[in-house]
Amino acid sequence: MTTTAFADSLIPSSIAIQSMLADEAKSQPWRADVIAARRGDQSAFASLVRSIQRAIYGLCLRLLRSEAEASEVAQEAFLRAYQHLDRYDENRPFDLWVMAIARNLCLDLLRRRTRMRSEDVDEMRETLPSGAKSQEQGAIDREERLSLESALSTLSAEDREVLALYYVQKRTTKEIAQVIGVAPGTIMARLFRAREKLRKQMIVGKELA
Amino acid sequence: MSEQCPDIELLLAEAVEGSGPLIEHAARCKECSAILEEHRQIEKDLFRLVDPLPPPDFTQNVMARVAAQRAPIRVNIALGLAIAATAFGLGIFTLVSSGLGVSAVGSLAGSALITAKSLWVGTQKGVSLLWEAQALPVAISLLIVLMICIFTLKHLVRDGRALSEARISG
Repeated sequence: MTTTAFADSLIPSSIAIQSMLADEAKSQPWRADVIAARRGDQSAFASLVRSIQRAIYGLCLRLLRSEAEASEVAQEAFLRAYQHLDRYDENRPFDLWVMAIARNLCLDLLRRRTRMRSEDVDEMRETLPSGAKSQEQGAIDREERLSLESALSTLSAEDREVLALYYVQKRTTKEIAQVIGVAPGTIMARLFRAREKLRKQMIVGKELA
Repeated sequence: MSEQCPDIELLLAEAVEGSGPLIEHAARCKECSAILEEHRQIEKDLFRLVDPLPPPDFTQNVMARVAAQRAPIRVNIALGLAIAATAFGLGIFTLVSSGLGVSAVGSLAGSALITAKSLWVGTQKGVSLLWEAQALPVAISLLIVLMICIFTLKHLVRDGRALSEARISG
């Protein structure tokens, strides 16, 4: 092998570089927008908001059980994320970072709340949808969904959040641990406990019905 | 559940792994197998739930609040550094273009040093006088009160739209 050929073999080809960049963009789709938003590009931040707003709002709604409060807190979470973009570690998923902010805001609000109005539960039951596909497939009907949502609403915020993150948002236990700030090994046990409470609650609900 | 039945958490943990003595027990025990089946059904139903869509104007509202904010701190730092560098460059340019030589720059630096020294001596004298008059604790207390007032005022102005005001709590 000549020296030039050897040197060439050490330098990745443009295709390889493009492939590496594409992989990075795939694994960290928020990175470019975060960098642009840090430079003051608000449209980049708007793009970030659009990409994760459903997950953030969804978690807030599951925790707070009020559309108005969920919207307000989710907006506040994004605002705080924008204000503290310089503190964000780019190696951490952006959605999990904002989710942790939103979760803390929700828990703060729940602590301040003295009691929940019963109409909030009714509002939430009507608000939270089941999957569009599953509706088409008729896999879970409205009554079953309402009974599940009703049982879910009786659980504690801690139980609701772990169930919502794992089942509704399809997060891994590692990701949930990052959001909640606990060891990943404890998440499964939390899930089992929450699901068992949900099962018992659904039995009570069926008996009352 | 009979006395021989395992703890439900252990049973569920083993169900995730797929096999084990507890699962073997559950296969023989009607109650345990019923519980496991109920859990499977709940899991299936939970997996079908999806997050609701946020209000249609959600992004717009977020961006309106973002626009009302100051730019992120990193932008401010970059802007500050850029201003400082420009000012420094302009200063050097003015100095050179006005025809002042190196000696004039030296004189300027010397005079700046003397002024700084006088300022330092003056500050020391002031502190010393405060100390002698036993007024230093009072001065420090006043300074702390002033700082708290400024910080609180700044905090109030920044959080003009405090979240608690916008919340609709029960």
